[in-house]
Amino acid sequence: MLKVAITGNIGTGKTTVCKVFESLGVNVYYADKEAKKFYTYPEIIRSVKDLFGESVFDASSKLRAAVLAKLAFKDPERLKALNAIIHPLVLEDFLKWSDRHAAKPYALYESALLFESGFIRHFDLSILVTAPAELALSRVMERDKISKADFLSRSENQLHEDEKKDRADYIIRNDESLALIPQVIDIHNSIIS
Amino acid sequence: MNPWLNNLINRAKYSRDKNFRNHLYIFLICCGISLFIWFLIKMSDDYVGEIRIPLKYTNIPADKLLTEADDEISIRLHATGGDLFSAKFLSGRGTLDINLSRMDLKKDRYFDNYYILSSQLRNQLSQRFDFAFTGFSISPDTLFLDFEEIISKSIPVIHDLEIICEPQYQIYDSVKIIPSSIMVSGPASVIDTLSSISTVGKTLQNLNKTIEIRLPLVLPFNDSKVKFSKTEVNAIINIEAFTESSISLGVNSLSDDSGISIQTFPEEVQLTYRVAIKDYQRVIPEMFTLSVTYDPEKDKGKNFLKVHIEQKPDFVRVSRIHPEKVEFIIRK
Repeated sequence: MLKVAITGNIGTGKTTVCKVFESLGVNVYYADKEAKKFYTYPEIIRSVKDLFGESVFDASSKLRAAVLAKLAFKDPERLKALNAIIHPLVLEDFLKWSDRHAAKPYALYESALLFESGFIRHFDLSILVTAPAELALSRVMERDKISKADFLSRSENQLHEDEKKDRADYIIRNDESLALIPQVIDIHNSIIS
Repeated sequence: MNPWLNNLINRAKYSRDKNFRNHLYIFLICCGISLFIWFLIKMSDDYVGEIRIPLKYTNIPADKLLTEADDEISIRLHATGGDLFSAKFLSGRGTLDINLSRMDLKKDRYFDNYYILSSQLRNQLSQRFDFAFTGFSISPDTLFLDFEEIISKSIPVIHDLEIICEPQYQIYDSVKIIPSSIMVSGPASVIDTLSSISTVGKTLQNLNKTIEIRLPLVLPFNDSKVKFSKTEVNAIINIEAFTESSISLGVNSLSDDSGISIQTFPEEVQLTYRVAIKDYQRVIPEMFTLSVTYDPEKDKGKNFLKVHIEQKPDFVRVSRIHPEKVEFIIRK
């Protein structure tokens, strides 16, 4: 079974693209969503508190994701340290997960920071989702209720889209003028053939 | 002017002859007394006279409006000059009230109007004159009356306000007009042309709080036969501070073909709306229903379907939906 990574900068519409793949019967592993479960592990809680302080968890040790995101995206060094804790756990979890779905021709791993983290080397193929910066900004501001400054702060930790385009095997343009579904079907047919 | 008369006037005006003036005064007084005596003698003679009497119609049926009718009658009678003089210039000058409820009002089948025979007024007129007379006749012999049905109806009041609020402020709901409708009554031919009534135009600027104002109505007819129950109304303009927010909502898929199901991409869209700050906490996703409709004939070959708002709270104003169109796949 092929392990295919799907990535894209914040607000490009990766999740929507993944939903189209799911409608074609492809299993998708959502790295950010799955990562949240590791923040319930005592040793992870302790490590994250050491990095960002007590405020990132509430009294019942539940992650305050918005506080963590704000602190992490403002400090590239501490973000890198956080990723070093979480990403290996997520990757290991994905590998186990993909073994369970080995009967399928391929499985998708969705993550925003594949190229940045260097995890791309663990995958057979990569798909990049792109969108115009203005469109990505408006999507994220409406979806996450964040300011333009916060959006730019998060974007600073991502590679420029042009650099990712050079390294990706497939590119999906999600600019709301070009239909997504035909692009996804083309890639799907290409992978399974 | 006759030179003799001219000379006489000049002498009366400018002459210092006191004797002459005294004679002239005595002459004029004697002339006046003679004329008066002549007048009294003539008044005792018999004459045929004509007396015009203005008419006033009373007790008009409540559901009718008298639009046209004879406004006077003429009476011819034979009596002494004194009685005729008195009837013409003294007792006979008042209007004659015609009480329609007591009259035998007949309908003309051909002209579709009503009439009264003047002979019905004979007794009423006779009682007016307390002297002996003969040869009594009334002209015209028939009084024609045109009636129109009076109808009433309720018509809505429409305001003509231009309302400009301060930034962040908007009208909370529609402008409330109290009363929202008025009763108008009058001839059917006029009332049937009325479907609404407008207030006078007014521009209100920089509003940032609720206000109540009185607005005169623009009365469409300057006609005393048309009656309006109100000539002005109150307008309540409810102004509230508004804020903008957005909400993520799933899109329902509808199709005329029950054998298929539609899946949209994305499955959720962002709906941006404006809401009064006081209602902000009331907004919950369950209040909204968004949908796309797939028509197998019309939408065949299309990549996108437009998202429609099926349901939303009245107190919310939708600014935009993003994306406005979604992609879809058809499952059979």
